[in-house]
Amino acid sequence: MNDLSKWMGMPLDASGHGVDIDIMMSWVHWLMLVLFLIWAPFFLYCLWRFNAKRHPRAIYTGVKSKISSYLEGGVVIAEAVLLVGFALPIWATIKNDFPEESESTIVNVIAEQFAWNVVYPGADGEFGLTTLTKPIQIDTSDPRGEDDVIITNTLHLVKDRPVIVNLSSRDVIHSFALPNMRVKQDAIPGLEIPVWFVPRMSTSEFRQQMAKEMPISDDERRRAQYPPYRWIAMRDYPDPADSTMLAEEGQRLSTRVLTRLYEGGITEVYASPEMEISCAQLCGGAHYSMRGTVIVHDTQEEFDAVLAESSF
Amino acid sequence: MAEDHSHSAHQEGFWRKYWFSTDHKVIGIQYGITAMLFLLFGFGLMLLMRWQLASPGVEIPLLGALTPEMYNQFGAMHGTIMVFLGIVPLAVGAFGNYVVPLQIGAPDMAFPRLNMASYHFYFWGGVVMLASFFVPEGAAKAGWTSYPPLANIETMGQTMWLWGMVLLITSSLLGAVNFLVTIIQLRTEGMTFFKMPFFVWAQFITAFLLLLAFPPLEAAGFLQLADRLLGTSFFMPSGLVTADGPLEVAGGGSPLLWQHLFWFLAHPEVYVLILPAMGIVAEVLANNTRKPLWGYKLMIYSLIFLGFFSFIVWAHHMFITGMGTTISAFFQITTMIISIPSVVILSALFITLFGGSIRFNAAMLFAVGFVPMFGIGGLTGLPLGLAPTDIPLHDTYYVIGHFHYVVAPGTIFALFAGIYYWYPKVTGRTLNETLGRIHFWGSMIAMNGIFLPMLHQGMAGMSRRLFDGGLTYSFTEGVLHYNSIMAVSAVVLLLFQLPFIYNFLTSAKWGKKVTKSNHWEATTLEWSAAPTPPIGHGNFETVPTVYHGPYEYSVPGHELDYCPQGVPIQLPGHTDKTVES
Ligand code: HEM
Ligand SMILES: [Cu+2]
Ligand SMILES: [Cu+2]
Repeated sequence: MNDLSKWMGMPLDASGHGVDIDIMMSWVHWLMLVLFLIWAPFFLYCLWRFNAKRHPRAIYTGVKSKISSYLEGGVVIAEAVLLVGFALPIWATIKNDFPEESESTIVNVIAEQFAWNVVYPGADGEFGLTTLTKPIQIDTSDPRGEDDVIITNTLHLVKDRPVIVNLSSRDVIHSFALPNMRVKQDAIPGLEIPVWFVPRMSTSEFRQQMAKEMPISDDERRRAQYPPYRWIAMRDYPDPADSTMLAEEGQRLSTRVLTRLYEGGITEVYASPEMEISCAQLCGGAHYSMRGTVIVHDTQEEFDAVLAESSF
Repeated sequence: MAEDHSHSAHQEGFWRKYWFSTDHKVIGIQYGITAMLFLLFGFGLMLLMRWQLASPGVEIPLLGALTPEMYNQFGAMHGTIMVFLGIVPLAVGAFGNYVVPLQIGAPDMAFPRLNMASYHFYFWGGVVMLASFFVPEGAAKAGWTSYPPLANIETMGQTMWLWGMVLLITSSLLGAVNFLVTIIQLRTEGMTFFKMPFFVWAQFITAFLLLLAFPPLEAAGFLQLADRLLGTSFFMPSGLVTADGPLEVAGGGSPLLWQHLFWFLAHPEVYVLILPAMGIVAEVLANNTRKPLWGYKLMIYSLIFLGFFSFIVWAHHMFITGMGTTISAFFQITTMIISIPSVVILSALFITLFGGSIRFNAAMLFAVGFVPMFGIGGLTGLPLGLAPTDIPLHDTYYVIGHFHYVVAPGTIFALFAGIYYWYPKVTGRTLNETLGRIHFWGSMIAMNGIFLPMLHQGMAGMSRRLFDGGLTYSFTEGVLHYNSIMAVSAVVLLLFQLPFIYNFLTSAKWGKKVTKSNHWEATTLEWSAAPTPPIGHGNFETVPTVYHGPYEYSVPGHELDYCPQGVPIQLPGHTDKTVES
């Protein structure tokens, strides 16, 4: 009753504040449903009862009761509750209650046609300048940037550690959407806009929850071709004939891999999707494929190790 | 008098009579036919897009496989054509022009030549828009919203789009002034404001919206033209880098300025899309329930309230641009407030049905269909109007579902209702009822087949304007299969328009002739005082006088169940209120 998010088809929520949004979403839809369920039977009844065949002469005065005024009053109250009880406080938290910088992962995300450049500040915690080139690079003349790392299209985070994203764009307006984190913020050239959230679910937990047997039908492979399918194998798949690996756990199921599995006689694969970054604002020809992934590490050590690896 | 006219028409010649006409009825028909052709064309673009979404990359016969650039052109032009070249010209230019002077007992619009100019600006605006498909690299591809910087750095088609918009806006402004003056000045004897049909009221408020909301967009259009052609930077900040390296622009501008100017127009514009539709539905409902519109005055107050408030809700389209708490609180509050008069009008339409003696002809079916469909559209506006719930939904298919419910099975159904209702007025012949029923039921089912899945897709997070229909992302997995259902529904929708097109084209010549002027036994002046079809300039054989309100159906003590506005009656109980001496 309180949280219909699954029932309404919303993506799995992996964030701290998501549940507030989901509950509010549910109540708004309850209101819609109730109004619809009041109107619809009345409407159908009128159409049936007052058909000219059944009711040859209309009643001049029509409805005299005040019920509709009460209904409208009810809508006013319900909307006021949604506004004051949910919308305003939730928005205030999202916009104003930023976590302590010292306790947060801080990254710059610089959007461009058609990639998400995620800049990590390195050990000094300070961001250096970036170049006006394409692809974007760390400006080596700025000492603050010596230990900065740019990872394109992957946002690494740590479970339960708040993250502050300073969002900007170098060309057109993009929109930084993380469906699983209930985050969406336009990236607007000329502005740097901070966004924060807390990932409450790690990627491994997410994959556990989302994994399922996927049929590799011809149709599935056709889809996979266009463009590469975005699922991860959740188990090793050795070739039944010899002992070579057709797919390993954690491997992305590209067309090539899917075809290999299919030809090896495997018609179902245990796989999971990823948490994704999607661009929600039309930004040009390849807008549709401006995709990134979010990897939430279980520990800070794992996170540090990945960044250290990327800085060479 | 009619003979007189045809004689002079003969001297006027074809061009003067049918192309450069100053008669509001001919101009209304010009608008209607042009707008319907544009609607069909915009629908065609949508079919191509739906094909692509259902089977990405599969070749379309004759056209080949779509490219992302083509897809974006089709999307931007579909939106622009449907809104600015289809629905508004049909709702305001055609129905408004044809019906308003007749309903208020006026001989014509106040400024017949301005009226003609308005149509010609519209026509050439449309030509420019269509021509933009043929310039190098094609038509505009930055969406009907044309957000800079993307729109600023797009190819030549965007410049054409802007010029086209300048012409269309000019046309709307001329039309709006004309409607305002006509309704204020040319009401016939006895036609006080509160005796005007609801349709006239709707056109009246719509004209105010057009007059006050369009100028900022026209100005914004010129600013964007200057950015593109003269090297200014109204909407371009400094430090932009594209694939070709740093952009050589002066910089210092703001992309958000465009969004404010655009939505300052475009929110009132959505009411321009819906108010005339409500007006038509009100007329058809009153006529076919054979009873007065319930809460006529209340509906008019709601309408006026909607008109005012529609100017202070625009930034609910921009919650996700980074809006803080104060401004967003303001726009959330105004948005919730504006939903109330919509609920009031909708309730009034529902309640009007109660106690009626309902005739289910084709016009009525469409009008009745409008009501719940508009209801779904309006209700789905709520989660979008509250900022936190807008986070997951903004720029997804949920938004697309929301506004299509309002505009497609909403406004377009109302427009169909209007066509079936006023066709006999215009031609003297009726549309075929059986074909009309087929048209209604097929359209009803197909429209829901297209738009209902959108709400679910949007909930799952699927963004709008995706060339591959969401295949890139895995979170769309559970809702991808809808894409083929929607494509099939779109084709079905096309098929069910064929009986209508056939009906519309042939009935003017071979349809059943109406036996009396007041074919629907209606109360408003266009039926009861003017002949069917109406005569040329002048409209009325004798100038009518109005004695009472517009919806005196089934008045107790009267044998006939309708009392035309131009015939004096004794209204039992409220003599003093409705009959003025
Ligand atoms: C009942 C009241 C309504 C409310 C509360 C409402 C609210 C909203 C909101 C908040 C949005 C922006 C959503 C987003 O981009 O995230 C929106 C979009 C839209 N609405 Fe409504 N709306 C209502 C009625 C209407 C009506 C009557 C129409 C038109 C006839 C309409 C047409 C549109 C259109 C065209 C858009 C999309 C614009 C775009 O982004 O391309 N809405 N609505
Ligand atoms: Cu983008
Ligand atoms: Cu709006």
